[in-house]
Amino acid sequence: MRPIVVVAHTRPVTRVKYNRDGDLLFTAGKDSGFKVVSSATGEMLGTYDGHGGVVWDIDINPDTTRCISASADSTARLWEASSGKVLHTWTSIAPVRSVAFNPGTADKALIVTDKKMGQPCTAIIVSIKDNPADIPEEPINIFLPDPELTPALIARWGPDQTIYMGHENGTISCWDAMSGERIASKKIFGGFVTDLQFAEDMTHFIASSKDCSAKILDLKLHTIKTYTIERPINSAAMCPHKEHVIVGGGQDAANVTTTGAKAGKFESRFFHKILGQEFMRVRGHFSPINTVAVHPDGTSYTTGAEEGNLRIHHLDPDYFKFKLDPRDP
Amino acid sequence: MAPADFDHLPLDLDLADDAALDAALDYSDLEAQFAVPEVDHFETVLVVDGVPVVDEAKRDKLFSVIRKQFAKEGVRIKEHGFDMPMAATGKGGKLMSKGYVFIDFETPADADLALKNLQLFKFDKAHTFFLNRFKDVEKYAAVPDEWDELAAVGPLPPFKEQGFFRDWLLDQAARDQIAVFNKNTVSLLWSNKDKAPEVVHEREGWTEGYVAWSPKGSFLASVHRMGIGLWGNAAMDRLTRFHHPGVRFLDFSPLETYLVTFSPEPLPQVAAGDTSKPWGPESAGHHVCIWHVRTGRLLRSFALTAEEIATKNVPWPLFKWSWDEKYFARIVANAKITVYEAPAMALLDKKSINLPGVTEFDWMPYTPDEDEETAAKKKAEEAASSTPNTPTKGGKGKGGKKGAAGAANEKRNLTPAHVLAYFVPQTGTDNPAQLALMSLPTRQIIRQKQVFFGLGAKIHFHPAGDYVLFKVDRTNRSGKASFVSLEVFRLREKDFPADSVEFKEIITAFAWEPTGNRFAVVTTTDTPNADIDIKTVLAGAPGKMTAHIYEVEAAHTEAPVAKRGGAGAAAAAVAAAKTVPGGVQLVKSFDRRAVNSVFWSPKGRYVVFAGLRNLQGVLEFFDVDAGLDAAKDAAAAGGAKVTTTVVNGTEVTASKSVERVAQLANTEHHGATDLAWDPTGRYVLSTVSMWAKGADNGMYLWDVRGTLLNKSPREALKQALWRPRPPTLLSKAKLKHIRKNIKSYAREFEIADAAESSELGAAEVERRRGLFNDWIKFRSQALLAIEAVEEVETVM
Repeated sequence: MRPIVVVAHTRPVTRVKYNRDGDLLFTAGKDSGFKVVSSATGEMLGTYDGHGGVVWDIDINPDTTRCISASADSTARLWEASSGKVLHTWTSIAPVRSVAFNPGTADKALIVTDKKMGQPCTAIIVSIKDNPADIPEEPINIFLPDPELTPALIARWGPDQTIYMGHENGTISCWDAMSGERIASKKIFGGFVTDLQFAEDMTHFIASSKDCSAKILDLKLHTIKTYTIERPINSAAMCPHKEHVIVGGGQDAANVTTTGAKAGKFESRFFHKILGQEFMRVRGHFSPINTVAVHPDGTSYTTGAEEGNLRIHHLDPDYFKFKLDPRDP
Repeated sequence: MAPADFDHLPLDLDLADDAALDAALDYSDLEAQFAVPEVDHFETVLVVDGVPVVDEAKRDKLFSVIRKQFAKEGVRIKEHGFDMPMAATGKGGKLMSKGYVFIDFETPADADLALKNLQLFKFDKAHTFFLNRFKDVEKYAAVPDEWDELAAVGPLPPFKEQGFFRDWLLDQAARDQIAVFNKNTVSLLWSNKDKAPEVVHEREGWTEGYVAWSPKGSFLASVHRMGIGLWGNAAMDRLTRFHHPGVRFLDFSPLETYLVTFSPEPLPQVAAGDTSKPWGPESAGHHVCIWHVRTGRLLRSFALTAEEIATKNVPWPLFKWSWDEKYFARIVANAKITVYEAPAMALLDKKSINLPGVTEFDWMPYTPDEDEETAAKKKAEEAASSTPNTPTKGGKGKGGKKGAAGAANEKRNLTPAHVLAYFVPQTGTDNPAQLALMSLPTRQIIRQKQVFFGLGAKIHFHPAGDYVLFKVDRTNRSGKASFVSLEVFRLREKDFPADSVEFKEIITAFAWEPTGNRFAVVTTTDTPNADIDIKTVLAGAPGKMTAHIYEVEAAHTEAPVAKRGGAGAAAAAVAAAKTVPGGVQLVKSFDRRAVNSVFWSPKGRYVVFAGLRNLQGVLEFFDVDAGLDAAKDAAAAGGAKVTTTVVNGTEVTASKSVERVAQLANTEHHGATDLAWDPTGRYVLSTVSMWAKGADNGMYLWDVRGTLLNKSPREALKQALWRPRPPTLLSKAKLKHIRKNIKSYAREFEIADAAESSELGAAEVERRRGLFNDWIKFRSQALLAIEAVEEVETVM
């Protein structure tokens, strides 16, 4: 497996995401950049210019016509995927931390702002219309996650108009998007929740934390599986078709200069999702991995790291033949 | 009844009846309060024994001489303070003294002073005074002639079963144990080959400082603020406590009989007769204690020298023990070696060995020759067993030959049993450094060598006592260039021949092969200068280090090599048996490595060069006898592969192309700080401890080939120590037999291994099946739940 290295950003990569078809790979970075590359070759296809601050989070609608981005310039923007034109801008008074289209229809979007500049962490549900001119300024719903849960670092749609958030103190919470009511919350981790990714069938999700663990939780926030490494985990993803989990992380960025590349363990690590056993490690980055995304077909995966590079790994045939257990698909 | 306890007075007590009242009341408190102290009227009186026997005439003269002599010591005697009993025992009933005198001193203080200063006073050539208190005479006279132990020390405490101290050696799989100290917990683990270690005992707060094994593995010592705790037997019960406040270091004697402890705090003063502390008044201010391990009794305490206390620099172990614990010794102030005898704890021959300038010494390890008697017995047995099987003459001849060869291989002790090696560095320009071997208790120097400009040395005895090596740091005459010379003495050869190897580089590590004739050295090409200090140089820089393996060859006679045909045949036939003087030879060097330490397998042959701490944990495994095996294999294959050709009169064998030293693995345990072979030489444990590194603390287990067997991460790992094993009880012959038939012995273990791994497989399969079933159950339920919600929505 020879990865394709894409020098995508001049500052750390914050998020990589495949579109539903898997032909495009979207990437956002702290250099205010939001770009799209070919997932097959790593070729740069276009940029979405306009943000004036760190782009924290991005999402793509299922038919890849539109993208949404969250930025520390206190805006969330809706883009036309093919042209890079801004279709709509939502302006907040605090940095925007997370964005997401609602699953399936993408007729709503979730925007979560940071607890910064004297503002509380706020979740905003906005309506998305086919004609950008029809998008109402007034959001559908606004609610404030309870302050004792600490600010939300990541927010994703769950099934049935629910929203799942990961908080600074390690809590995962679940909300009703329409009423803003808290359905459940539970302290799951001992540190920052760094990522939250749903399985394709929406029956469970994987969340990762700075406390060096990643966990699979069901919709009622029961821990189903735990994967632990020796380093903080910044991102965890589940492979479709294969019962595998990929986690990425490494020595805290603040300590990187004092540790060698080997000691930092800047590796993507493969666990068997059910058996919890680690079976593969992929090295290459020389700084912590910030984000991991798996191709919708499970044929490749991409990691984005603190150094600003993406590494697109097209998995070898051997990987698909490999079975840790005879029951493996 | 307690004083003034009126609650318990009988109700029908008649208060008018004094006698009844007295019987009922307890006056002990009043009695104690008004007790009159017993006055010793004889406290100024001493009985002086050993006084010349004189007659009436010389009596007063004697008194005046004694008075004068005592006055010199500042002791005053009362005017008529002499009382000397006389008896008519002389010729013709003449009154003669009895050889003792009662002396009444001016004050009790005078008597005390006399007792202190004039005890064993030499009055003249023939007379020595013995002084005793008047009261003591009565006391000593009352001691019964028969020793009554029960009356003297009381009944023996009931026997307490302490358990079996070598329980761990009975493990069916012959596994070894590791004591691991991490966070606040000490765990005793079985080291497993194919799976993670198994916990035997795990206790939080087992120690406050660290833990240490005794040399034969019987005891685990834990260090606490108040002293040392000793643990042993199958349940790891506490066996003994050694109360030594602030104890910092401990050291066992080689056979586990004695324990030496050191505390930076001086022992506090205790009153005479106070038995609450294990030490007495004479130990006040001492820092070092020697204890009897089994009973927990303090045998003797030692003071440190003023310099050691001032500089806080105490070499540890302070005392070095001889192999049989008969002697222990230390260097005092670089001026003398003091040797003490155990168990008496007394200075050997009441005097130290004066060696001005001495900086280093060590005891020679020694293995007694197999007793003549047992050897003879064995011979008889061998003869008996071989006779029925090999009655032919040829068979006998073969046996005899074998016996002779065995005797030649047998190591014989040429040295006395107790030998000290010491080093005295060069002083001035004319007194070269001294390397010497001294026999004890005779104090005879049995071998000596002078080395010019030797400034310092380390002494490395071969663990079996075959050799001694002095690593001497030297300079040239001008003092500008420094170098190191290794001075090796062969102790199993007559006159202990010496050889020398010199290094221009700095030596960072040295080790003898424990059972062989080789040693390994690691050198660095770096030299300390303005940018790099000596510590950094010793820690090593990658690519600057060289690993060497040397061999010490014994003097021997080489038989002429039989040569088949060829041009050199005639010349070879002429060549007679050659005498080889022996010496130190380089076997192999490996340069540009990232290693700074060396670890031989306790059974020899295998060696690991490691780059610990700064060098990030490079581990290089070597087999020093790989060539030997290859040659054997070739010979077994029919000798076809060993082709001998003669080139220009020198013989070249193809088998020589097989490297004698083979690298088995070049691997890494990233950040490793420590490394240790298990006591059997089967495994290597590398560890990353929290003292050197904050993250990734844990242990890796390797086999001799450098294959990683398992990893056990341990947060905040402080110590990981293999439990030592006592030496084998098998005789040399038995060991030889096992080595020869290793395959049949190994089979049993192979079968057990196979059975275990299949068992492990079955358990693992079962576990995995369970995990899969749980997962499938979870998924189907979760999917059903979602579908149910969707159905509800569609209905609505």
